[in-house]
Amino acid sequence: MKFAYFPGCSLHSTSSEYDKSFRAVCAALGIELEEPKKWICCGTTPAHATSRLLGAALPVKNLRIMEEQGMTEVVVPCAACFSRFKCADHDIGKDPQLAADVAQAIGAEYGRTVKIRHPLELFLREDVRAILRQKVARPLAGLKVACYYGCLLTRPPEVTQFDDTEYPMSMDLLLRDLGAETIDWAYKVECCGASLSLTNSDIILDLTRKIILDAKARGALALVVACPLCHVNLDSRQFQAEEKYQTRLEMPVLFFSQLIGLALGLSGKELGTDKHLTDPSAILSAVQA
Amino acid sequence: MGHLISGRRSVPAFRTEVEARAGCGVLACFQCGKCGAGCPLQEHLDYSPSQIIHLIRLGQEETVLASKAIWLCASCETCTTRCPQGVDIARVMDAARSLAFDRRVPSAVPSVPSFYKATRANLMKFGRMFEVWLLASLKLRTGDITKDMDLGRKMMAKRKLNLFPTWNRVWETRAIFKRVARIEKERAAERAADTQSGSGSAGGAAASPREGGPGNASGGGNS
Repeated sequence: MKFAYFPGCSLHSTSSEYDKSFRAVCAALGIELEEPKKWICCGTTPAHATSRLLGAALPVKNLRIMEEQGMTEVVVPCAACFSRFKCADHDIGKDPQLAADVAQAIGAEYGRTVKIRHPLELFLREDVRAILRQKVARPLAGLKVACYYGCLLTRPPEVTQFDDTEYPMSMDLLLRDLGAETIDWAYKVECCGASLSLTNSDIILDLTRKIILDAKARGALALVVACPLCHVNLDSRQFQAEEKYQTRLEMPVLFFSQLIGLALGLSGKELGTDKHLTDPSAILSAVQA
Repeated sequence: MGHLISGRRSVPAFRTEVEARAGCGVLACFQCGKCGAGCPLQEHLDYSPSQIIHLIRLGQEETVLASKAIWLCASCETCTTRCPQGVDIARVMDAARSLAFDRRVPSAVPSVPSFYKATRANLMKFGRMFEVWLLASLKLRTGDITKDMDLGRKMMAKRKLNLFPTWNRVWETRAIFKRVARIEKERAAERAADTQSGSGSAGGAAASPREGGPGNASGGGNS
């Protein structure tokens, strides 16, 4: 199996452990990934919030780059990139005027031939799921976690076409396959504040605290995420929330790909668990015990 | 919350501009307030999403463009997903802030447009995000030099921030930004001509409510 792989800016920097663990897991499962040459940023919020056309043109430019390089199906782990790609593809399919403007803006016609997938969709394909079940070396038994989906994987549903929009279960099912226990909780698809992180951190800390406290109250040992922005707000800013609210949260936040890797028997180092700002060692020793 | 209605404004010019930029209409809204009920930012907003929608319908341009709400929207799409009338509220928020951004209306949350400007400049310089440069230029723009120094230090220690940029398709990226600006100018001129000739229909077909949503009473109907 071979897929195009669009890491996006975050997986090359602030969330390199997501990149590292996803690549390691794919390698262990025999899935080949190929990064398109010279991709550019999807534009994220500063593009779509200032211009609908720019917000569509930058993702379509990337899709066009992949089309030129003969790629037909791309895996996009960053939920924000995933959302921008899906949204742009959906919009040019629906609005011919926008499609024409985008073509003019990028100086090329994009034939809409590249399918856009999130890794969770990939791991839940029956064939991949079967391989995954076979290769579990270290079941995650006794590990109670809260799967956090955030905003952009499931919303808006007619655009992302991904799982249930209010109560998704794909990550839960995947981790249950690996032996983990996943909890029912209220903040599964609540927003972490995303790109307000750099400008209105006080709001982010409030949202981070609420999300973590709910997971904690229901007995989760860790949060599991599928988005680099969620990870920065929940993991990297967690110490700031603790300082601001004078409370101990101590909630490890892992990427789902890291948990898959642990179940496959890979080491924490191979999965970049040493990169987190909130100490995940309680989880690691629980799995490795 | 302040007064919702102030001054006089010829209706639909502002509304139709927002609808054209959003690619969807706002008239289907029946003010149920479901958008605000699920909004994770609601307690931080000066106007709820449904109030913003209503202000747009009333042509209250100054109030909308001076609001905090349009800048604090995190684009989480909860409102859009739950709207029973199929109004794409997140897009309307984008449309309103893009209008304020283009017209350089002083922002109620100035750090947000500063962040947009810094990111756009960053992309035109490198083609991808170069976080260290972005953070530095954001600090210069906002004047808040000490913000997040603790976080930055910790992230550096964990090597979560690259110290050197890579350059990717910089000229192509710049060309996209330039062409987008030119195309948008052309479209704005077309809309202005449309409004003057009285045939304005708010972006035509694009101004219908989000697909799948019930009720097509919204649209960009002539007023």
